Amino acid sequence: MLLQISEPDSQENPAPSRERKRAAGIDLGTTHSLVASMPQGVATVLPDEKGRVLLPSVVRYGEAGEVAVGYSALPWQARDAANTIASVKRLMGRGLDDLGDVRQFPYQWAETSGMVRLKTRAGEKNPVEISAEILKVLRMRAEAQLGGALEGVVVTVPAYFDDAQRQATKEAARLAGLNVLRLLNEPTAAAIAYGLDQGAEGVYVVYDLGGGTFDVSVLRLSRGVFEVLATHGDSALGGDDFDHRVFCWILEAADLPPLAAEDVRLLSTVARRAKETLTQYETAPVVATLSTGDKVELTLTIEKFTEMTRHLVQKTLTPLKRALRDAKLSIEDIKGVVLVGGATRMPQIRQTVAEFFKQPPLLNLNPDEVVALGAAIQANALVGNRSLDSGEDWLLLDVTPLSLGLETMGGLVEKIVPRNASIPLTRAQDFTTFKDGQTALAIHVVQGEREKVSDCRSLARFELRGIPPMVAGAARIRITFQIDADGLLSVSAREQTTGVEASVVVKPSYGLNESEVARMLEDSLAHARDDMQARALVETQVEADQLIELTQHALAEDGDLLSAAERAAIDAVLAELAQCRQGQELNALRLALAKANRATAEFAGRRMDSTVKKALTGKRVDSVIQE
Amino acid sequence: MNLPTDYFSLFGLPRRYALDEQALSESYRALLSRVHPDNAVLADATAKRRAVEDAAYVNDAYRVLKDAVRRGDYLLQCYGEAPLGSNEALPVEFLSEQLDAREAADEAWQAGDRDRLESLLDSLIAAQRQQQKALAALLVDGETPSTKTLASARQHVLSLQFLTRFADDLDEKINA
Repeated sequence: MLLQISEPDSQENPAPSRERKRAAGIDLGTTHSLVASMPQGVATVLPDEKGRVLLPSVVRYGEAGEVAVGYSALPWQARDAANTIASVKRLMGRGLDDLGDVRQFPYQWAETSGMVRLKTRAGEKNPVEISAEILKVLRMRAEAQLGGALEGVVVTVPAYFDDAQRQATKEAARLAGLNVLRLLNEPTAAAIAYGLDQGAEGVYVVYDLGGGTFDVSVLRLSRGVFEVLATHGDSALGGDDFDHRVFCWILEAADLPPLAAEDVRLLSTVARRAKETLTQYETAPVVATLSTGDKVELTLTIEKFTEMTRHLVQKTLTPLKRALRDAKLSIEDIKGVVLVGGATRMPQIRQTVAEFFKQPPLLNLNPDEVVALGAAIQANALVGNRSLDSGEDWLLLDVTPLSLGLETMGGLVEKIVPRNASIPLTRAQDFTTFKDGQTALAIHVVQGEREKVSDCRSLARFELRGIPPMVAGAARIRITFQIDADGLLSVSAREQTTGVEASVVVKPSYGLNESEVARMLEDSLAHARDDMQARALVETQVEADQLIELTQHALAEDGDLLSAAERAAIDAVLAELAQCRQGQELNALRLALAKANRATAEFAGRRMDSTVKKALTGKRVDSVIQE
Repeated sequence: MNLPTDYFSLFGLPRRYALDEQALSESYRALLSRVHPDNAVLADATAKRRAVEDAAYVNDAYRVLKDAVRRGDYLLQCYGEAPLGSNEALPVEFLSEQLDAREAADEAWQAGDRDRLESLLDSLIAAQRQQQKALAALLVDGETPSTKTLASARQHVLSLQFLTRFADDLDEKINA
């Protein structure tokens, strides 16, 4: 390494006066966002001028061109829905196709093929720009209280965010004038806050139940190293589902007819309040007067609430078990369980977690704040303040949440990076050409756990061109996946014998939606057997195609090596093989393939002899240019 | 600083099959702390890229050495052997034994006999240990193995690979 003499902050040349650098951690949440910092070496969340730490993640574009964020935008949600955007996190890195029924959102959508754009009175806005408004408010809050510009921030993302969602989050922060030091997974951030606060050692589970998603991570904390062992989740399960159960119970218990839209909104709010009341009391009053004049007067007991949501609580146990299995651990190995997200305040969640792990969950830190606190601690460390604090050195080792792979012949996925692999990472795999004289290779990068490309998410497509014509199988094309410390992917391809190169930073216009991630994981487990069958069939079909093509090619070139009867026999088995190849019967196809292999073996042998003779007399090389 | 290209030197471990897991994991953590991109967040693009590459390299080396099959494969390659192929022949005796075990596992699976599956898994784990023990005796440090030793080691690594896949498969079935 060259000696650098002009680098004032490198460890070899410490600056004369080491001042604390201003850094912050930001939890950019679906329902609310927070900013935290370590101004005196202790992580604290930063409140607004009224002492409130939570900033509702709501942005309104007003009549006079003003932009309102947070509490001031909140009341406009019903009155000015098209210009008041809530839960923008659900739209990050998403296209219209990803959102399903867009009528569930009260917004006006612009026609676009990439990430969604909303029509507002301030013009078309995409989720990155809207998120940037929230981030700007948090940035100003932090800068006002820390006394100057921020050196950098750590922004948290759900562990299950894919590449497009991560890229979009990073972009939003840049747009808000922030220097992003790192994107950090939310459960990991929570573990950092706990681990360093408690000086914990051992294996911990982070149970993160938010408004709409459930994330679970298993981490080992050991001598200052936070090692994420596995992560899992169910992105279609959250606190909202519990509200909905209460809502349905009200309809049933009060025997209500179909409701007007405003009454649905009213009762949804009443249901949520009842749920919140039950985190502190044994019973909750459910009282409302509907637009029809009908009155609802009910009492919800904790017992009833627990009973009606039991299956939801049970549903969180499946990802928990899978994460433990991926980490190759059992319940006895778990030292502590950290709860994250407001929904974990529900007593039946705490009780179920306690029963499952045979120990009460850790409750020292506020579940709403713990993610932002962890991000602040990471930001503080990354800008180099750590040596100013008494805290010891620590290191974070995170993993990638979903498998990454390439499309191969027959629409199958070749996995290059398995899920839960430590990042940063580089993985390479060699591929070759399928046809004689092939000069280009189409590369299709996919994300997901299934065996077939059509069941996975497409991330990017690119081409390696200019491969010199060679016989099929002669080219050595090395495809390399690299994932950096933010979990962002880049892919490159290189033909080894000639050095022809192509690469792409995977930057899809939009990516997976969260329920798709969960569904894909579910499916991969549920369909493992079908997939194996399907894979075997496709592989055999590819093999059959190759044999047919090779043989026909050989017949055209060296058909004179065969007698008429031999030729007829080969034609017959090939026809049979071609017919079976069209069907879905694996065993019939295998049989036909074996038969064709046997029938053509003698011919292949004769060709080999003949080729040797030709080689001695100088051979002609055919090159067929094709893609 | 250029990192050693040999994984054993990288972690300061003797070049042999038997592994001191504690030493490997300690050395891995120390090394990764030194090269991790976290140290380069405020540095220029070149230093950042370098940090990602170095950390990725250390992660990969760790993944290879801590895995019993990959470590065997890597060690054979250190001695000039070809990487393990996907269709290499296993010793006939071993293969017929394992095919019987596969059949027994399929039967137990069809019959929903969990205890039988568990006991089959236990015997697989014992067989894996035996293969590892044999490898540890064959591939020792300070001694260049003979061609015959390498050939024998290769059979053990292949057998271990087979057993590991079988065991993972069973484990999945048991825990499904």
